[in-house]
Amino acid sequence: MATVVEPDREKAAGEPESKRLVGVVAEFETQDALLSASEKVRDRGYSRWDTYAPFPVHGIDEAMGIQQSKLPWLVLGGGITGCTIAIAMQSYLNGVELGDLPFTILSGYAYPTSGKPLFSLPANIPIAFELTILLSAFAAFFGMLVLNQLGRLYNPLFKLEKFARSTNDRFFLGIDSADGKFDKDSAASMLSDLGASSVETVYDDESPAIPPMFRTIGVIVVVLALIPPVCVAWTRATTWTTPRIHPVQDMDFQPSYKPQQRNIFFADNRAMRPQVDGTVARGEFESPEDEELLEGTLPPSAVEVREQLIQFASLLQDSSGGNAAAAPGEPQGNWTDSIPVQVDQKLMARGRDRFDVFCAPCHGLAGDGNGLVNQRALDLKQTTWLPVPSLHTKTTRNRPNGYIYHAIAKGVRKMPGYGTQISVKDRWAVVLYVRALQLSQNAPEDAVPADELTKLQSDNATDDASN
Amino acid sequence: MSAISPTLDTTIEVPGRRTPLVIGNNDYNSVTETVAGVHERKTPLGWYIGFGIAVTWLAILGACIGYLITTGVGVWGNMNPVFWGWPIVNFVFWVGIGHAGTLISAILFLFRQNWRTSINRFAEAMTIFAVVCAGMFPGIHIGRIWVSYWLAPYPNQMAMWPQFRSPLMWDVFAVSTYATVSILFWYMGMIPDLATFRDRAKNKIAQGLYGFFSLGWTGSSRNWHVYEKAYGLLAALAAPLVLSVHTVVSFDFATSQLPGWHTTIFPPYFVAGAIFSGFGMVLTLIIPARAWFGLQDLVTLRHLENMCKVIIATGSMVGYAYGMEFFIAWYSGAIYEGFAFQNRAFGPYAWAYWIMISCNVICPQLFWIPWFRKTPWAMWVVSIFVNIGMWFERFVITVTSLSRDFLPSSWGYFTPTWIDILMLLGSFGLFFTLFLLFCKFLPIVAMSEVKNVLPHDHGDGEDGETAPAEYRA
Amino acid sequence: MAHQDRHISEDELARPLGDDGTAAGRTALLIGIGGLVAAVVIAVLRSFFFSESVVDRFLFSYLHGFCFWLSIGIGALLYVMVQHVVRAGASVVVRRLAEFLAGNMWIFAILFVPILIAAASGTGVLFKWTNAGYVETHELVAHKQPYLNVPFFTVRAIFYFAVWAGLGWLMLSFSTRQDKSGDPNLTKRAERFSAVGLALVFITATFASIDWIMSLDAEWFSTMFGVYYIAGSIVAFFATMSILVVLLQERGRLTDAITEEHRHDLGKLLHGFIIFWAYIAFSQYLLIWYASIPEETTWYFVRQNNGWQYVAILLLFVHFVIPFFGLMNRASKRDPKQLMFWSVWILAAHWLDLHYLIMPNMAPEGIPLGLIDIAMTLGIGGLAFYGLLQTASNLPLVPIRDPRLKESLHFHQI
Repeated sequence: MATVVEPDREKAAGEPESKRLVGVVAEFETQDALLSASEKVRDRGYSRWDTYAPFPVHGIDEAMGIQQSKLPWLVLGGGITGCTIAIAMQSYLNGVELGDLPFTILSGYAYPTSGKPLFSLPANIPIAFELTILLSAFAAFFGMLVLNQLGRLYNPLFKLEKFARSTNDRFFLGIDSADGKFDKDSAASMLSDLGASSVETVYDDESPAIPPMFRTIGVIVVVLALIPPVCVAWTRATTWTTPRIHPVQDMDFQPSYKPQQRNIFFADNRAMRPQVDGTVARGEFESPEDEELLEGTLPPSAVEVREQLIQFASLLQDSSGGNAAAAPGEPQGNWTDSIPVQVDQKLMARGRDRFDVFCAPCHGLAGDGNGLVNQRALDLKQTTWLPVPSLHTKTTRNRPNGYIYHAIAKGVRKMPGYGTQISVKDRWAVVLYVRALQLSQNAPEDAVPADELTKLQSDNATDDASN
Repeated sequence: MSAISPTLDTTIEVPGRRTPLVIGNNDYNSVTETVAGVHERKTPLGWYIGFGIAVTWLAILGACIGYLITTGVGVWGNMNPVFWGWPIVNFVFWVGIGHAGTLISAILFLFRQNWRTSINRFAEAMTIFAVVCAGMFPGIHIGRIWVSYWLAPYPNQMAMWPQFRSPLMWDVFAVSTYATVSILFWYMGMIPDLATFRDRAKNKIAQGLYGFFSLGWTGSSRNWHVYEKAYGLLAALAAPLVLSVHTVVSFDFATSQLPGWHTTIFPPYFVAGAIFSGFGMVLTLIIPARAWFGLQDLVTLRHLENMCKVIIATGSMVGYAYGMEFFIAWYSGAIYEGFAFQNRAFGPYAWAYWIMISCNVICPQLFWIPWFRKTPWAMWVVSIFVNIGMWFERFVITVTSLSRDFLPSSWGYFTPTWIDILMLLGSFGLFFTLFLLFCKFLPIVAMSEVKNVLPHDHGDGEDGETAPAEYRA
Repeated sequence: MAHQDRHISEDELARPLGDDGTAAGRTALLIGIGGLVAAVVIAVLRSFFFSESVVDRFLFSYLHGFCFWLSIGIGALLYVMVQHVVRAGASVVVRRLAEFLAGNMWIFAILFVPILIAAASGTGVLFKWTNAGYVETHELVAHKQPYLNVPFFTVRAIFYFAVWAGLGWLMLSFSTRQDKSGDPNLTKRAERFSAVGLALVFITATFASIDWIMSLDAEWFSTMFGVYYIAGSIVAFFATMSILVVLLQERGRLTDAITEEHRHDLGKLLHGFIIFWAYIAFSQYLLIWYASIPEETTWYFVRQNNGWQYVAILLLFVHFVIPFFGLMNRASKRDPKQLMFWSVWILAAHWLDLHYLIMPNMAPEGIPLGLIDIAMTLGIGGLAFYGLLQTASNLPLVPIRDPRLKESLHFHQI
């Protein structure tokens, strides 16, 4: 037999008027009792009421008339958002490069890898899948919290001592006082008629205070959470005179020897090692002939050395007073004008061969600066392309042999050096062939053999006639 | 708490009658008492001893990581050509372990396997701790740990973005998504049980903390409705997610051109292996736990038997994949592929290969014999072998394949350093520390779900009978 | 909602198809013979007009149709055995239909004969590796001779059919014996056989797919191929089951026993397995695409050129994306019309999938899809269903005395 019990505390206070009436709560022993009671309450037309159970009771949705939740739509929305973000992010960050945007942070970084297209959809699917799932899961979890208004830690029902069993082994049915049909006494008697083992009225304080413990914890958490950003901001805004922290000592301070240090590994205990017998240091030559052969320059005479020293001294005093004669990128040196290898027909043939391989692509087979690379670049209208100079200009013809040798070996202006591909003797061979080419375009009439001259003249005549 | 009924043998199958999932005349209250009792009773000495050992190993792990950071990855045995050594082996091992939890919670939920309710919480917790252990290894493997945030899609100081076409990048997303969703799933499942703990808490601090984390749960049916919906949806999302995680881990290997790594069967094979190892670990943990915490009525022999069957199934799938790899290595006629597999079985690491085969393929077949499925200690022994075998599987895949490069001049033999060994053991310290804390402070069985499958008075007809005569041994 | 005890009379459950079945069987036989004859005629006509090889065109089309219907049987076999192994209660009312499909595997042994003759002829029609001249010029195929040779091929095929027909018959016979005796031990025996049978079917289906589909391109290989075919088989099976259920219910059979809850379940599994199929297909593609090793990419290279690329993209949409969204909705699984629509859709997609697997080996230069393929598929299907209805007509449509039947009748979704 059910009894209607007012909460003891409220009786002791004796002032129910100061407390807000929340509703009436009935306790049931079994889920079947709860189910049948729910059906009755539903049929009586109550709208603001709920039941409470330690687990989801089968059939309660129907008994209470609960509508299907909207949650699946939220989840679908989350999934579509995740998928879209993932595909857009990947194609943008790896697939495009927008050049010089005002904010580099906004531009992607298009770099090819292992022959894959910049935008490779198959490779983007795993991440798209993961983000779809992640955002869907967030939508499911947080959507559940929001729809259920969870996170509201305080509930007046918790004041009922018996209600603690709602999470253990008892079933409750509560009717809210905000319901239009609510009447305290009739609701209570109805519930006890429906087989409730007890019915209680729930009152609430007007403004439930947050327990002081939560306030303390909250303050502590906020303060602790502020420490890292404050530290970061402080470090970023501070100039330090001490060296930065080196987390990995081995990487920053490597065990290498410095000059004049002792190293017991060697018999003489010196860390610095003497030159090995029979080796030559780079840039140092055994003889002037070597320098001429290998560099195309001649050693400066004593007078020149003195002049250079004076010039150097004046440079030190006045940095603007340098030698402004040379164009930028133009190598300088005391160029030799001879060819320091044996010149013969064989060398000439070799020079032609190498020229056709290495030089002709840009300079053209005739050296007129119209090789295939040049033609292609002009076709493409590449703005960065510098037209290849002809080898037959007066300037080039007047260059000393050493200069041309040097240009082949080390490059000049935009032309790269070919020293790694063309050996020393071959470079001289190319110089020889270039000279021959130049001669072929600029020979004075008397230098041409008589039979060739007549042939050329007849060719010119037929050309003119055909024009 | 009700007495355990020793005469009841739930492993007997009576077709047409559903074996009770909870035995021993339990009612709602006794289920609560049993589960909450683990947390509320005086902590047994064994827990302190176990915790002490686990924390010691955790400290050793911490020391090893400190040493690693200050010295560099040279402290490991990783060498040329075995650039991926034990850290990756351990990573894949732990991620695999982590698969059983979500599988039990999600896939068995979708297939309405109600026996999952007694073990799902336990397995989910295991998942999360295993994923923590797993996530640690690639984290420290990158060498410069203090710039690990470069893995995030954030334009770093070089204005570069991560390379999304790299499977390693996919891994970052897969494992972190998996960890996040697993935690959500685990936590969401715990909210009602935390509310139970809140309502039973005696002291203010416990009340406050459980109250805070149970988010004001009242057990309202309107809430349960949305909650169940969300749970189902999370399960439906977690199921493909479980598949995807080890699939992506397998992509780390299989997208390469290395013989022994590049095989199309890798994705499902890795997933099967992961579930296999995960169930192995669940058995390893739950068999002692149910004895210590008095959960025999909730986690019955039937539950253990079912897990054994999952182990046979997944173990056989792994065996199928091993077989297919071998067959296709020959069938393809690709000499490198052929060599790689010959080298696995008969090369310098043949010992590891045969440990793997005997533990993973042969050992679980013992479960065909009913005695092994019904004797907890025997299962426990087999489950240990499964764990060992699955660690060796990852060792075989990673180390054996790498040690034999395309160029014989770069071949090598990997030997672990003592740091490698201590870190593996230390990761178990981390795992067990977290696990013991979980056992002590959180509901280790999903009470609300178990109550749902208790024989109800009006009930699901088939679940109705407790201990019918047929089950009496 | 407490369970109201759904009472369904045993007579209703036990009533076999009877005359309806015999009539349907006649129709199936007519379709079967008509389809095959039409296919032959079309093949001959085409050989006049397009000067293509009659035999090749006919055989490839035949293999396509054969593999299509076979896959449904394999799916059914796996399904029945899985239900036994997991002691499923929910599915009992629909299990008999799957048992019919599984018990009909013997007919595929007969239908396999033309393929076997093609292989045994040694001319290299259908299977290029059967031609000695081809093997001589292809070193890789020569390497595979210990596996790819006609005698061993025949022995394997006999073994596969023995396993499938044997297990299919066993499952059906356990169930029908139980109809009479009601002995629960038969359920237990079926469970034991299923545990072993599952492994056997999985392995035989893998190698069958390697033998009959993968070896068409004898140089290519993929470890995943068996799983791919099995995934497609399961999809096709669930689609077929849904169609059968809806067809029967439209004709007023099992309308009480099979509820929307069971259809929902079939629909969910169909939905789940198209995802699984997509997962397997994507993984295989991604790994081969990513590593880009020529010996593997050849297969996809053929299938990404000359129009085949459109089939690949179409498959992505019709076999996964569209039905994935289509089956998401609750109603699409519960409403018979919608379920029927999606099942037919997916079955057609599966058919296209097999077309994509098999046909590029015959016609790498373009999609040969034509009337002959449809006639052939209908023909083989007609014969297969004729065989099925011969057995099924006299048996109850539900395992009437299965101990878990009551649970299944009361089944409802969570």
